[in-house]
Amino acid sequence: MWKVITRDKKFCTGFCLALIVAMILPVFIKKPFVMHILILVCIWMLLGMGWNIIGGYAGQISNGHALFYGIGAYTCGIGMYLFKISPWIMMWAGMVISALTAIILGGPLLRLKGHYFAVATMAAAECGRIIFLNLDFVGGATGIDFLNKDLPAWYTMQFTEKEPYYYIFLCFVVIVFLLTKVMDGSKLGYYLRAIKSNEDSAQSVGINTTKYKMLAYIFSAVIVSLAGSLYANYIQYIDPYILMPLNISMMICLVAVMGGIGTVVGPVVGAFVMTVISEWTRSTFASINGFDLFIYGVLVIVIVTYMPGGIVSIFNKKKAGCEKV
Amino acid sequence: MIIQCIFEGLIIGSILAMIAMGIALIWGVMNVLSFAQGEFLMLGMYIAFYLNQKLDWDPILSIPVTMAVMFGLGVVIYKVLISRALKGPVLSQRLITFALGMVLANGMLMLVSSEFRTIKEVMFTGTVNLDYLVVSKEKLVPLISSMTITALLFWFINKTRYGKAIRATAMEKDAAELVGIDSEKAYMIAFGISCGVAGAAGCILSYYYYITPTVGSGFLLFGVIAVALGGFGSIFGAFAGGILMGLIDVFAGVYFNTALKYVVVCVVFMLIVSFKPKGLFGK
Repeated sequence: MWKVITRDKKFCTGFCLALIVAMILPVFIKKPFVMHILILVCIWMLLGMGWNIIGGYAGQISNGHALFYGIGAYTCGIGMYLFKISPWIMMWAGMVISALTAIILGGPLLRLKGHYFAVATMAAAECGRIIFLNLDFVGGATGIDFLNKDLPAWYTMQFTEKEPYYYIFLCFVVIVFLLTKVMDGSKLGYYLRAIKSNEDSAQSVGINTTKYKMLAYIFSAVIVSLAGSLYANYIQYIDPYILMPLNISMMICLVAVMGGIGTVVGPVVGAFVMTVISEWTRSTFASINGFDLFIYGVLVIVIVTYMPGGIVSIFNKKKAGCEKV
Repeated sequence: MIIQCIFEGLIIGSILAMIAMGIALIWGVMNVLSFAQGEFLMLGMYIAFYLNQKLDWDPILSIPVTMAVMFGLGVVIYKVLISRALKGPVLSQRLITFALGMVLANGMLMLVSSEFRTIKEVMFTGTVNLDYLVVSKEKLVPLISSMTITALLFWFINKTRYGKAIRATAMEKDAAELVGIDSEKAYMIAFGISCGVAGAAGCILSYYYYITPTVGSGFLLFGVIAVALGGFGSIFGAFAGGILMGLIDVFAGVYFNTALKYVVVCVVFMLIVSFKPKGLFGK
């Protein structure tokens, strides 16, 4: 497994450099707001990488990943609030529940193609949102606030400073990133790419498309759920609105596409750019109502129109062709 | 009671059907899943609102003007954005329409505040009391208007030359070009019409619904589900899907549980689509 990574020398050096920069960065940052942006960047990187597995590699564009994000966040929140169980344990419970949901949903839905799959996943996410909205024991519309000062900080993953959050999230980002790189070069990666290019041809060569699509869907659900759990612990508050409207699902998709769909580095770059843009516009233009999302939308239109292969395609001239989905 | 439910379901359903037909038109012709329809609906509502405020026009009477304005807007948006997006991958097209929707909604939010507004006085008020059914004119007039516009749309698509050109381009673009149909123009008109229909739906909706910049997204989701339910490429399917969704919405709300009625709608949708992957009337 390590051979896949170490064979690519350029990747190794680039990765190690980036990792060193990322680890010493907090030392130079004085403003908490910048730390906040970096933490959000980590979360969106996880979201983008998770979505990329089903959307970028397998080519099944899902517009409903906010459902898994919400499941991850709510399991951690409920665990903390009602049962005082540590999120380190609850995040695994969240991932299991998300995986089961992916299996239940994926069975019927993965048979659909293209736009139909997108719409069906949207419907599923909307179902989830309404169910959470109406379940009173998770707070319904008001959500739950599970700040807990009694138990030690490492147990509850609730710290007062931002740096511990950043390092924990960075660990997860690195793990998922390496896993994606391994998958990219492994047989699973090739099968998924075959499925994306032409599902019928892939089937005719003997690839079990149903099984691999399901695997990709489960993996992506698990990673997105992890991101949700981490985010919930950072914000220490969850409610149905910040988690699951259509916007979040589309933005997860956006992050991967803008960075470079189907590539290893794409979602990472895309998450960085998108989060910086959205947080910067939100803070600078907070006075004018709605201006920040306006600028965000305009920038998205510009970037997606002129760089359909994503930002990564500028650096990868040989891979610069349009990825026809 | 059941008849009352059917009536209410038809009203909501016919408006959803109009949005759905707009989406189906763009989907069928250009294979683009347009996420901006909800915002065109919202723009239509605002146009009706301002015409009502400044010139005291009843929203139903402002439908022709709204449709014309929205058609023009649709053509402009097509020329500037969509024609460029069509050259890229499918996912980018969807994201561009999503971003466009966001730009429109937030642009509107910047221009007008997010206060909820309603149309205060409409021309047709009062109720019509049939024996088994009490019909308020504020709901009857929207129903009749949306049915009229739907009929006009069907007539246009099926009977006129432009409609046939659009259908031909949707079926097989290269073949249509071989026969001399200007596919760019067909796309442009199709996009403009679907904007116009969404704008008209907005006018009609403003009769009894509140007006705010973010009103579009709720309708968009159900419009999209209605289209997928009805099947790809079929405008009649979108219409049927919309009506069906409106009926399910009302019946689930009355007989099941008001809060979870959307869950019922979504579950029904997922069940239907599992058994008929191309939708009810899809090709």
